[in-house]
Amino acid sequence: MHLSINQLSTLMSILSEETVENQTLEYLVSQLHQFFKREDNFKVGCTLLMLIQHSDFLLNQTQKFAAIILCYELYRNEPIATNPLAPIFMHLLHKKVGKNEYVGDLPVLTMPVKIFLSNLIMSQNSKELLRKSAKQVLTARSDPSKPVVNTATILNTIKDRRKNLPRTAKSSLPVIIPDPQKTESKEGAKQVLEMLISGPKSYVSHNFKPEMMRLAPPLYVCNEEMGWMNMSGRSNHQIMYDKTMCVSTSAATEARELMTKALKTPLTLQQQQHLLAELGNDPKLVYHIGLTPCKLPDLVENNPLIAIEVLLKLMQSHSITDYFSVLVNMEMSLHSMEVVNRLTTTVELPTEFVHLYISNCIVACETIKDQYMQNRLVRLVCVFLQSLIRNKIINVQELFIEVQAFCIDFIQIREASALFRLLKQLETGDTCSIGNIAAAAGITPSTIAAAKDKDKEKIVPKEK
Amino acid sequence: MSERQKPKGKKTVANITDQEHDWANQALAEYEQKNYKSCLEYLQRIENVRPGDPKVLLNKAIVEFYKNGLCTADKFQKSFIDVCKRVELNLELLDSLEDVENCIYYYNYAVFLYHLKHYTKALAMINKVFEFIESLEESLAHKVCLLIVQLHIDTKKHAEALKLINYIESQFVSTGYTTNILTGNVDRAGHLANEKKKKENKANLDAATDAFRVSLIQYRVRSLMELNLFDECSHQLNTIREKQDSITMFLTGKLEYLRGNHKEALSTLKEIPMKDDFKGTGECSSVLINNNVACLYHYANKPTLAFTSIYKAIVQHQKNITDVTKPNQAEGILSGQPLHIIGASIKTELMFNLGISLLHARKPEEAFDCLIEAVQIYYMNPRLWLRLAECCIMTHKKSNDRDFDVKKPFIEGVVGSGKHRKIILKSQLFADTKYSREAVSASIPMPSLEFGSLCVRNAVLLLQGNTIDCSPSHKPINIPDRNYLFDCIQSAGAYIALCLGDPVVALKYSRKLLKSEKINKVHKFLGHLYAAEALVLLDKPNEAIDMLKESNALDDIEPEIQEQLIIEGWKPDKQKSAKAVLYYNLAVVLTLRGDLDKAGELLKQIWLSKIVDVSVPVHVVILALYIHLRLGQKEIAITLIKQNCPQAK
Repeated sequence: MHLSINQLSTLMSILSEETVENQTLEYLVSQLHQFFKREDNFKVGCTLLMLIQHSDFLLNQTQKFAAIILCYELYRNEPIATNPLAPIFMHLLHKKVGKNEYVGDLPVLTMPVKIFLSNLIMSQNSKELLRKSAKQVLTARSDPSKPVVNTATILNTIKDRRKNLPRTAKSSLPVIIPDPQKTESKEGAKQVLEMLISGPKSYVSHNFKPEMMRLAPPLYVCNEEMGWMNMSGRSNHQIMYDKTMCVSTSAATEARELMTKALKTPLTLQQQQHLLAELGNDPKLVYHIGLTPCKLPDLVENNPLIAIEVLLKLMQSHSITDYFSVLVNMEMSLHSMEVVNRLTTTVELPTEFVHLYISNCIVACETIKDQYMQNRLVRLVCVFLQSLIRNKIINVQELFIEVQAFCIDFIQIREASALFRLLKQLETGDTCSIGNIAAAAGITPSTIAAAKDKDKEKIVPKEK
Repeated sequence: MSERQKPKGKKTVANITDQEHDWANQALAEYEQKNYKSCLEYLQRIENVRPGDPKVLLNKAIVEFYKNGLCTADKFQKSFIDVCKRVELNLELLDSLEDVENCIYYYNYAVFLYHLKHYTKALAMINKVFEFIESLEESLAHKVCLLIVQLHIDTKKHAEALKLINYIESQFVSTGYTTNILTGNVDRAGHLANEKKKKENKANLDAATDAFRVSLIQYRVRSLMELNLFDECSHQLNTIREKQDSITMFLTGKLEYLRGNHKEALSTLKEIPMKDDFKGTGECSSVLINNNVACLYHYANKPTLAFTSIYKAIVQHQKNITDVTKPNQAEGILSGQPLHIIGASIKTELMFNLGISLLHARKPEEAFDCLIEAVQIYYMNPRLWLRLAECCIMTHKKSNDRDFDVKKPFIEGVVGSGKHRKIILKSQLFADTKYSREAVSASIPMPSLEFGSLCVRNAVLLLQGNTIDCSPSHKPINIPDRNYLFDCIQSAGAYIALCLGDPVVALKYSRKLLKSEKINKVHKFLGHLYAAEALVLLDKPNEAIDMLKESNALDDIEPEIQEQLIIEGWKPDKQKSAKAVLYYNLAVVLTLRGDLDKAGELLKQIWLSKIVDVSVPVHVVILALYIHLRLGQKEIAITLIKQNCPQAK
């Protein structure tokens, strides 16, 4: 963004002593517009400004004056306020525009020049004024009839405009500081000008202003950000050969077929024994016989004995809870009760499972419509509960209210009233004699079996 | 039994003759001996009499794959899927797995996916297989267990992995002491009792089960470590002390590393045997050791040694990969490398580490190139984005040292002589602000401030999430870390925005920074400086002055922060020079506001502090010069230049 050396020579020749002395200002202006395009205006302006500010480039007052006029003419078609060079005229016309503003070595204007300049800025028809040559203006005698035109309004417009500029934008100073020495100059003015204007950095278009110091932030500190690498043993995960290829699976197939049958109908004793034997031979076989949790109820109803064995074998499976929840929620029946009863005595069942089962039993008793069936069911449940209490499988305190209400509901049934008495005994804390009470109520393991055999035919078909 | 009925779409398979059974046994024996060629011959014989038996076809595909050194993954995948189609198995539909018999397909496919690093999909598949775990033949069951745990770890489900390991141990390594570990019985007395029991039980465990047991413990240690349960880790490691394989030793080393016992970590590393079979395992301990040693160097503040060591690791790793890669890409993108090598590249992780160490070695451009590679994979890591932004910042300004370097000339030079002599000042002391002029998109990855600002934006967004992914690093982000990371991101953002001439954004970042909880003194100091500068650029000098007056520079700086700054060599390192910076900036604002006298006074104060060996900003001279010029004291200004700048004499 600077003038080329050729452009600089052109500008300097327009401002040469000879031209300025002999030609009218109008001529100079027309030359300026002829050689420089509009888009060069700012560069020309900056250069002119430097020529005015430094005392060593334009030696002649006429030349300086001409340069000032050219500065004005560059932007004459724009309002003075938007003329980027406007402040310079204010400095020239009003000596002290604002304090603390660096202005460089601006020339001091004589009165006739001030008058001329103020007229030029304020007048509508400046062409007339420019007919004069620079020399004529400078040498004109002070004419009292033509005072300095008041430029205060324009000054204020310029000030206002500057006020709206951010401080950072109006705080710049030129980077070129004149430091004249008394020693002989080795270079000509032209040479120095060329260095300043079109050198590698074109100093004329640069400026400097106060800079804030901007510290770069310190690096983020993080321990263990660098990743330690482990051996992953990834090659241990290998594609595997199927070892079951051409391995006879007859035992499994047989067991699977028997199981399918067992879901539909009770197996003969021989079939039962066969299936249980096969399951006993191969502990993994139980997983291969196609018994899923949802098929369990069918097995329980048709072959409770096998269901018990299978469940015992599945105890280690992580899906055993699925089997349990199916068992608990299946329709209550003698067989399901038998399976649960057997399980409670053989393995430790989750307490919540047993509780849930008991609740379901009680609900089943309460909702059944058939009076006869209800009696049967209640007796079974009572016997079952007493067995659980007797074997200390449940802590009756946790179900006390529910069970007690159940007993009261069916107090007319002998087993229910026995259970109720047992509960009362427990409540009074006579725990040591539970076994005796139970025995007194006539409950022994054999009673369950007896009750079962007695009710079997009647309950099972009803539930189907 | 003549035929068996399979539930879903299975072809009835003809009765197995004794001859076929014999062949099958022979084939298995040959397979186990790794005589794949003769194994294939037997399989061929069986196929001839049992055409279309899917098990035979599957085994043929597998043995073929092994015979080709696992280098023909494309071909294997094709024949594998063909067999699946034959048994009408759609591997994409996981619910179609109903029969235990089909688990082998799912397992194999999960392994395949695992090696291709499709962890989530592989996990879904192996989860399905795991439902049948009890039904599986023991060696397959063990493999399934290990893979499911591995995949949980690879998908960062560490708590679940631990539960699984406990369950698996209770099912498959049912010895007394494991159940004790399960129930958390780790007190001293119980521990001794366990030791005894362990010895009794040990004899009963055969080699395979024992290896399985050890692997499970190794996995447990890994998960525990990720959850930062270090005491439990070392307890677990103790239980396998007698089985010091490389995997265990790396884990032991990592534990020491994470606990900050770098010396112990180093001595563990030194004991790890260097013999490697990269082709067979896809892992090379010398690469890992070099990387890990670099981590130790890094935290011992020896960045050059650190990056040299990682660089070595990368070169070796790349060589390893090239050595095992055969040029049969024509068969497909998965061919040419053994299956377990395809996903074995750890280049990204190595590049990440290299980048971090290069950044600390103050080589930001090189670091940037490494980290930009890592961010292609770990783009969810906010810390990594911050690191990229830091590379951009450091490329722009290597350090703050120059701001205090009084030897730096602050004039451009002298032009002309005699009456034409001109002193040329610098238009900017440092090119701190860089307005973007290039028509290059900011999103092109290069260490530019523009790209840096995008990095900061990503980091901010990623830090807002509930879970913060910081892989490949170990350290999970806790609340204090999060605050500190937040502050670092905000200050980087403010700095970059100022450099890009964007005061609005800079003010936003610095205000957020100042509002941050538990902000440390350095960030607070920077926050005030950045906010003040942004306010000045927004032409609000009064607010800027208030902002600066609020700052107490680095008064009472936290000792640990001070230590960090010293390690990094960050300036201003002393409280007094921080104060000089603060006063200088205040002087600038006063100057801009027109309070030249006050500004001059401040400058004098700063200058006096310089005498007592405090590094002060070099900008002070220029500002003094400026003030003199503005006051019309040209002569004093020129004297000032000549005093401070030998060039101008």
